[in-house]
Amino acid sequence: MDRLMRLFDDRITPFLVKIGENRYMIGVKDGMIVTIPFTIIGSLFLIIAYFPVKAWTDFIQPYQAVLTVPVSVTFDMLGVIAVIGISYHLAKNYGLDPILSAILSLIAFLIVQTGKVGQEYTLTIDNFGTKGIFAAIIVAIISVEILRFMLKRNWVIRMPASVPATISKSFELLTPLAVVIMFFWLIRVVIGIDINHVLNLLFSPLVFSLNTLWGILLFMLLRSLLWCVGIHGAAVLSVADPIFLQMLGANTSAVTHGDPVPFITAAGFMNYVFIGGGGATLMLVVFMLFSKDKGLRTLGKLCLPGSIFEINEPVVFGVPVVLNPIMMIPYILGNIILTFTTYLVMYFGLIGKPVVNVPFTMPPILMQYLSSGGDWRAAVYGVIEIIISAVIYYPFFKALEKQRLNQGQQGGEQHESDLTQPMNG
Amino acid sequence: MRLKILLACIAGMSTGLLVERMNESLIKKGRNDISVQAVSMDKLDKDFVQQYDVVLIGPQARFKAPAIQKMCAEFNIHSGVIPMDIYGNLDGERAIAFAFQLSNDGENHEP
Repeated sequence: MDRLMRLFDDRITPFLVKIGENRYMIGVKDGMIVTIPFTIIGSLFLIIAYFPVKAWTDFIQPYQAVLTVPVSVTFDMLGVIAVIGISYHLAKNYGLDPILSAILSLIAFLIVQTGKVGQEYTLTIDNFGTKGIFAAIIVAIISVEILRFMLKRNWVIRMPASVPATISKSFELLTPLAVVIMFFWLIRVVIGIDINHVLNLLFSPLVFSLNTLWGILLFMLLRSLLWCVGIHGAAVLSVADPIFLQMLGANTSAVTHGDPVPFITAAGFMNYVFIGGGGATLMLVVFMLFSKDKGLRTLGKLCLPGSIFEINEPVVFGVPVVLNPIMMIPYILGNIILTFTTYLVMYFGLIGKPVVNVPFTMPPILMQYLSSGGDWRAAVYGVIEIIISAVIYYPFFKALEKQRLNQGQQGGEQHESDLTQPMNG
Repeated sequence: MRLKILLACIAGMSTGLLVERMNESLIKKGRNDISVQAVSMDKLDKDFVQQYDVVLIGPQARFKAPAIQKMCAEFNIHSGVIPMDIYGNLDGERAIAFAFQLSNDGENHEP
């Protein structure tokens, strides 16, 4: 078991962290986080405008267009918000002026999203949303890199020291801005390469594979294994977040345009799976509440409030799941089996796919209901998931309980003395 | 304030649970000279950590610990990864003891 932990701590995690923790990925991650509040508010309007109850849709029909405006300016502007967010955070990380960098990148993004309609050049607003997310990422990185490179080489116009900082900073931006605009203008307008389209093509295999059953199962397995050695799976694998978020954006625009919802594994899919947190540990906590073992009962009470809101670190480290063969099995099974069933019920259209961005702390059942945009069948499925997870955990919980009861008095006393240790170091 | 303790994990959620327990334990002991706060990892920068005496990192975020500990060491702030059993049992009392242990740097002061 220790060897498993060392394998992850020494090899696998550092490798994944290396991918996830380079400057670009951090910038992308932080920048994408900027989009979340906007999508949550956009989602609220989406639920109101498209709440799937016939009486309601009939009533709201005349106002649907009005209610869709806040959805359009959030979800359909995800690319714009992302390019600002990503370049801001990347620049901040480099110690560059974040707001000027953000505007610089936004302008570059607008050039990339310029298209020729007849003889006129116009902005392709269709690409401002999720279709432009990958372009937003690449444009932000290139623009900030050009700015940084030119500042480092001193290829900028410097003002005398007596000039106020804000003014001299604006002047410093002149040459990089010219270079950035020329760079994207040459590629997009003069040569005529559709950068947005090319990038979407390049990223499409990744999007495609993460939206397949086997792709998402593999992703979930890796995430579960990371937690089994006590490492925050979601944080280490956050590299994939922009992709899942892009899928959610595509789903949401599909709803507002009346198209079929395309992606199953869009952001929020995993929240269907994580009943009471990763590994679907809610029912384990409930079993613990009624355990014959006093320690488990106490821990159950401790874990319950967090678990209702899908926070289960106390379960993972307290029971523990970490490096505990008895509990690692149901933890992994919980994720894998529920991913499997959730994927299938969505695939066959039995419940709605994720279309709404719901904070991950939303309690189960309510979570499925809201994520699917108010599909009552998704709520029923949430109840079924709770039953499935109870079946998965029960035998392992019994084994754990027996093990703890057998350990008997000695273990118990040990724990007590730990608790009563004096507070000094 | 005698000791300002900062807890950090990925979203500041689960450390938040532990902070609640630590505060309960402090109130029970009548210690109002110790403050405890939880934040998400991305808040930790040079300006922010300098407001604290001890920085405790959630075990699930231990892959971030080397960078954070290096930053803390620059300002002589003590830091460490919270042991898993303390974290899992939301053991506020031992978490405080752990913070003191780090801040005393092995010396045996009464808190």
